[in-house]
Amino acid sequence: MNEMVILVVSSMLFCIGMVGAVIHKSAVRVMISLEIMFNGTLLALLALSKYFNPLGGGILALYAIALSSVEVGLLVSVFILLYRRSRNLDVYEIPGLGE
Amino acid sequence: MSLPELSTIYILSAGVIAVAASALAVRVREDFYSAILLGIVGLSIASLITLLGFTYIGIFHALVYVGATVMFVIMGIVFIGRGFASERRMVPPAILAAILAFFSILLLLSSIVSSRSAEASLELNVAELAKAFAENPLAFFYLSLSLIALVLAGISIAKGEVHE
Repeated sequence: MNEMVILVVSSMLFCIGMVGAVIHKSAVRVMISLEIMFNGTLLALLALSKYFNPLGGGILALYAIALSSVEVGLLVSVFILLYRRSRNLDVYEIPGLGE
Repeated sequence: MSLPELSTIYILSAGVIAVAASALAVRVREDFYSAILLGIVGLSIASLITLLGFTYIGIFHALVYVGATVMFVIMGIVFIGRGFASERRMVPPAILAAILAFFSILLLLSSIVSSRSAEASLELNVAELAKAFAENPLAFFYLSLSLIALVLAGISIAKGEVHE
């Protein structure tokens, strides 16, 4: 039963994050939704790797967490620069992209 | 009727907290509270990882992800100023696509987990994923419908039919 609960939770997290990434216009909210999706994926990875290859799955999860931290640091820096430049964080109105 | 084990109760509570916090993080209006709720999701996931048996990865997730990453997001939001969420009016197709994707992913994951009893040393690779898709045509159907819903929503945005 435990494994089924974990799989349901990870699928739900992925889908909730997907809804947030699609419906929001603010870049910060899109990033937070993508992070929720990442959490769901990480949980599914570890739940599956427990039955297939625990060592490989654990190492991959450590890499994923570290890379996610780097990615968030980079994105927040980009958002701060973007906000200083245009006073707007709407993903559909980023200056320099489009017309 | 026997009582559930203590670990099952812990996993259920952490799962409910994670799902509720993530739903609130998507729906709450202020970016600041959304980032705080992301931290709660991270802590719940760290506890679930620990309950799965990956103790060190759970601690690493709590320290690095929640302790550094989420704090950095909160600091960035404070620098930018508290923003309020603005949404496009395409919530129904997004929710429809998410529900269909949920059933598809769940079918695929449960079929992969159930196949482990037949072949104990099964490798998780692309060929196995393709086999799981072939064995679950319903999951493929749900995923296709989900993608169609998202494509239709994207076309309506591109045509400018969806306004704030």
